[in-house]
Amino acid sequence: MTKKENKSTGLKKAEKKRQFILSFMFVIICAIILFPFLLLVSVSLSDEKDIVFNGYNIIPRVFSTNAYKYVFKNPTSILNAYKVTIFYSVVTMVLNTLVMALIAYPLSRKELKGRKGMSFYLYFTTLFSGGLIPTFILNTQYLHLGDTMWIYILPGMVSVWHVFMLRAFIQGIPNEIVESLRIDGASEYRIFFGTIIPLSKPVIATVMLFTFLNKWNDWMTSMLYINDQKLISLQYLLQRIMLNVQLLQQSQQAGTSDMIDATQLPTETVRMAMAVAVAGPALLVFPFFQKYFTKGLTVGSVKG
Amino acid sequence: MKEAKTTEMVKNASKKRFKVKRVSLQLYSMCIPAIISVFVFSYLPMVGVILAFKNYKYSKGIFGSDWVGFKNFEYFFKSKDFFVITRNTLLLNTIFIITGTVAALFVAIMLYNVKSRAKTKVFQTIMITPHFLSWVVVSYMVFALLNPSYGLVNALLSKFGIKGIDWYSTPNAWPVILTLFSLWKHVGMDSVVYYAALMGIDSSMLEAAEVDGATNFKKTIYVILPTLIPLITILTILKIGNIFRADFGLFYQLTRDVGALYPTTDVIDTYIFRTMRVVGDMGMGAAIGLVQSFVGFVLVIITNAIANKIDPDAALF
Amino acid sequence: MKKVISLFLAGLMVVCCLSLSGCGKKKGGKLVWLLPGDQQPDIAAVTEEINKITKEKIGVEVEFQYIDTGAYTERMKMNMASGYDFDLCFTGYVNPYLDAVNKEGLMDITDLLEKEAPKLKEALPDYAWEVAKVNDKIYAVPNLQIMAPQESLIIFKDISDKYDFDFSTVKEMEDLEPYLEMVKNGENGIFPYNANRSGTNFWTMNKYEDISSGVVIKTDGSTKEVELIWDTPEYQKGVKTLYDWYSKGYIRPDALAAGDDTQDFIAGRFATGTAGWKPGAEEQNKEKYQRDLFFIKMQEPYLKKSNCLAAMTGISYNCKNPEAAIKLLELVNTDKELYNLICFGIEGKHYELNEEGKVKKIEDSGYNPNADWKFGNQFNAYLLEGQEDNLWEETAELNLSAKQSPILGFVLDTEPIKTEISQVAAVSGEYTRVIANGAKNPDEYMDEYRKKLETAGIYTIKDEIQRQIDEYWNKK
Repeated sequence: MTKKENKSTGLKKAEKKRQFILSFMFVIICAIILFPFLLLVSVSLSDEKDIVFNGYNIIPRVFSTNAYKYVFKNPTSILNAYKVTIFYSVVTMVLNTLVMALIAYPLSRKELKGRKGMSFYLYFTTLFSGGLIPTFILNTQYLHLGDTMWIYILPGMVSVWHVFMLRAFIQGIPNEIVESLRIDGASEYRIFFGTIIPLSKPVIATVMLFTFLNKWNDWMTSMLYINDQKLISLQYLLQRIMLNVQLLQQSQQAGTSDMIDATQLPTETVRMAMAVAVAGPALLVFPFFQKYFTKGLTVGSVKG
Repeated sequence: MKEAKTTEMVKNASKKRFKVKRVSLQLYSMCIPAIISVFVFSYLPMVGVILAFKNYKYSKGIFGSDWVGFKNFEYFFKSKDFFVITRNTLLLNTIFIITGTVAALFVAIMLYNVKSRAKTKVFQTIMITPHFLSWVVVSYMVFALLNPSYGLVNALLSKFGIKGIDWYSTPNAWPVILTLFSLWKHVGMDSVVYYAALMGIDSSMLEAAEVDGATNFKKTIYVILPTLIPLITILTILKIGNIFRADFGLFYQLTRDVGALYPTTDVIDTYIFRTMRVVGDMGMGAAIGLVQSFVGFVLVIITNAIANKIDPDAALF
Repeated sequence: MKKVISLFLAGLMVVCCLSLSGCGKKKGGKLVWLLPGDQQPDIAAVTEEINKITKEKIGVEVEFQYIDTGAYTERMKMNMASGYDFDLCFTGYVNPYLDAVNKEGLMDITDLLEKEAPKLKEALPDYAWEVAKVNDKIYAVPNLQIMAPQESLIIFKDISDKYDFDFSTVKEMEDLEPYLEMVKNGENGIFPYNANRSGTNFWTMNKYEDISSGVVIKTDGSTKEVELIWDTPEYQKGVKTLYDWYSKGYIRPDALAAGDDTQDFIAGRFATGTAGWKPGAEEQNKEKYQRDLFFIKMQEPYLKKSNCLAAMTGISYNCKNPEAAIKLLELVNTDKELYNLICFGIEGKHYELNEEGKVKKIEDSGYNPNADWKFGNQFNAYLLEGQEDNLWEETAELNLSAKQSPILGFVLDTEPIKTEISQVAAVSGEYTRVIANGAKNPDEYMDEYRKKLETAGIYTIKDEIQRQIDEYWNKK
């Protein structure tokens, strides 16, 4: 064995060791990150009485699926909430991304006059907002969106950050491509749908994912605008429990707690089971988008 | 002959001008849906800022209520809350920016050193997952950990003979708890950006450093970090522009709106929410919101100007 | 350019179509009544029956809209602020009456009552109208129910039976201590006392009534001077005892964060509890906690404003047909058939009457609001199985015989001190649960608490309340 070979095997060994340490470290980080998930699932699968007396545990001491049985006992409400939430999340995902990409493309064209002004026009809305009441009045009294599916879809179509992400990515597409298409006489719409969109797949997928999750995680809309139980969103089902518990506490201090039927409040395990049922499906979506994710996010947000 | 050529040229030029005009018209038309949507849902309600100057009564409506000048602002600035919530907002956001950036950089650089692509992907996916959860769901997790009677943390503490801590009445613990969970939720996502920038590093530079006998640590300090500095600067500047805004869900849901925690966790956004919802004082809520917007506006204009100086491409507008 | 214009028009049209589609939802002259609670699945069938009666008797129809109880206060603020088209609404422990009146969300119905609904005016006792008055005007109809509940201790028999303790000796809270000690020593994993609901209230309630923010007045009417609750010896004693109990382990150590402890009660983690006593309270609480129990009344029957304002029905300032709305209220409060239809649903479908004429609910029938006090005069409700025959007579009697608050008709105008009130509320919010559970040594935080109250403006509040109280008495 020559000296050189010796050195390289030494290096290889060192490298192997280093890789092992790195992997080990990440396994630990990932374990820490997954830990709360695990706890949530574990509590939801525990026996209620055991928890009341002995507290939570990372592995259920007494295993029970009662909480899930309770959550799905009256399946119409939660299944309906799934349907509603999935419907408007998917619709907004497609529609909002289209609307945002449509404006992002012109904003990325350096030759277009007034594009800085338009960017500012969009950006300004993140700084000043009319506030809760005027927005509520507009949505319910003038646009009549209250208690309709539209309230989930129409407001907040344009997220400025996502437009800027899209814009930055499209800016990265070589200008020559657009120019040559123009010389060939293609209309801007043709260029947009035929070339820009396919080339921007990563960022479009990323924005779609974000839009989807934002809508999925929204509870405020349901709380403010929806009376019809058939239109309640999933996330609000969860938030509602929290609101009722808070009301109970306030009433205790005000001395009116006898008016609240506290036995109607779900138990700890049921609350956790609800949380799992609400969060679970959203997490399953991610792998479908992951292929594009890193690239889309990077180019977009670096410049955004 | 000469004349014919000029007419030809003029014709071409006008054709070109026509074409440019047509192109920009088409481009403008693409903006319309977004412009209308933003106008209707963001600009129209802005009329409501006049609420900040009114004593709002339901029956009189926004326009009919009595003007009170700057009284709503006066109330807010005179109250002791003003200092507390401003301090909390600025302090906690600063902590989030610093810890968030350091943690994201650390994770990105470490991940860059992992050679196996498959492993990288798995790690990254797991670290990103928390980003997709709503704060409502996260608050349930936090409650499972910190709940004083059932919670896991206190159970652990008691195993070591330490008396359980009542977390929801210990305000001093919460800046740390909030920072940890903010990190937990965002570190994976934040590191993606840095990681991808690292992927773009010219590998020949690293090889050259290796030939010179640089250790991994030195490589990181002298080659990798410097390439990231512009990116770090820009991202940080943008975050500073938003330092006056707090992540409402984080502060509202995780603390479960427990009064005992207000001294360290009450921020501008939760304060406005409470003013409107619990106290029902719409005028004052609007006034505080306006102050927040105004300060935020000034900060963004400044930071954007700085960003423009450093890298015009990175500026927002 | 054409394209621009056409697109713009298209956009406009989308907006217009939407607004039109919304307009299709007009209520068609129906009175809309907003209530807190869960929408009952079978509401449509019941509403149809209800409308048969209302249409025949007063010529209008009604539509009930339920809003989640937890969101009701906020939703009603938005609804009133936006001019949402509704006619009647619940106001009380959620959507507080005085707030709604103060922000001009409810209609003044003083004259309307006289003119359009004399029967309603007569159906309720004078004190009920007296408390509903704000500056001599009435803005909502109180839902008659128990108005003078007596704060009481609940003793759970499954535990108390094991110990030899004479509960008749309990006159003051401190008298309970020997029992708490027995439970602490004798039971494992069971907390002797639960203070979450009431805190120091048990020490002060017989002597003082809270006006606002901790400014109190003596209940016996012996003095016209208001004072701060923190200054009273009863309060200070309560705080000390609670801390003592907490230190001795009689109160759960994590009481501060424990959200609602109903499940813990049911699971049997507490030996005692607290509740307001009223006729029939034993049965109600037995059912609630699924444990055998008895009451020790710690409060004299006392009629105070906040209890009377806990459940009312008001008419929106925006109501287009107030005459019909008040007539509907009159009917609901006086017509037994209609009222019980709203409370229990359709006989044979949602409930049955047993041979005693008492209600037996049919399980999973799709209509069970389970809250008759939300709708109107509870004394018109059918009795439930297991309820005493003279339940409502007793309750009405208790209301009437209870000692009346010396300031029953007084309404605090919070406008001049609204900032101070909200700041004091914020300060107190930090401490309420700590004090209620005795979680910290009062010697350590009391001074700090009082200093904070002072900066928050508690004395400004006190002075203003004193001024208004003096004015009130001078007018009387």
